[in-house]
Amino acid sequence: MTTKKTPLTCRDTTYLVSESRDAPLDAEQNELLAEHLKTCDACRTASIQFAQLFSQLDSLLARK
Amino acid sequence: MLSSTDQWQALALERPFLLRLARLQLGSQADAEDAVQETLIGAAKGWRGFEGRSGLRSWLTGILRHKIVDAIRGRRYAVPLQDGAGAGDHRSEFDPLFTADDAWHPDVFIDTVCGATKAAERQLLDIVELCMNRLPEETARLFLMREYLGMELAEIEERSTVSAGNLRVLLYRARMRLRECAVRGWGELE
Repeated sequence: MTTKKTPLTCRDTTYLVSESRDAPLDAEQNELLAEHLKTCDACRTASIQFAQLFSQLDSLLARK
Repeated sequence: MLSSTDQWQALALERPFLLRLARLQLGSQADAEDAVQETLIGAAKGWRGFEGRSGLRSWLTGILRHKIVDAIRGRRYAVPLQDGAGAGDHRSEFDPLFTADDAWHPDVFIDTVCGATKAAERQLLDIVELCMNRLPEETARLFLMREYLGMELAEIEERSTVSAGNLRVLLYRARMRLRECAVRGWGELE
């Protein structure tokens, strides 16, 4: 029997995106995130925005 | 090749940015001034090593990082930070962004993504810098220990008095605030 995982909310995805900046997500977190992004336009957009922000931070703070 | 005077002028223009980074991390204006001064003198001496590929600010920011990390790791005491400073209730702060079932609220969600043209790159970085300057000081200090100095969370916890839980909340809060501020700025560039 497999346990049904609780789907993420949009707010949950923001926690994961922030955490992923500090440490790699585990397989289950990655899977849940990918599932959510498949069906959520706003989170796909937010995810791009965070990626762009992080890239600009890397430039500003010479982390590249 | 810049003359010596032009070099110093170029270096002096970057001083305020460097000083803010250093002051946040070292907590003392005098220590920050010393670290920045050493950075600028080192840069002037090593100007030939500056290849211009990454931009002057980026080069200097990288040099300063080493000086700050050395200074922090050389200290025998932790930078005093109040546990919980700015952590507070992060859920309620961002409640207006989400609906009751925690989906992005369509009325306030800003969907601007930045059109990263080379010409606008400087403007994009200015927006991020401006947004970063708006973070509360304690939040900015911890955020930059992670994002600028590249310290792992465990080391930040060790060198501050902030608990693991509160550190995660503070970093989350900083990133959410920066996103909200940045997307508004990107919208104004259009």
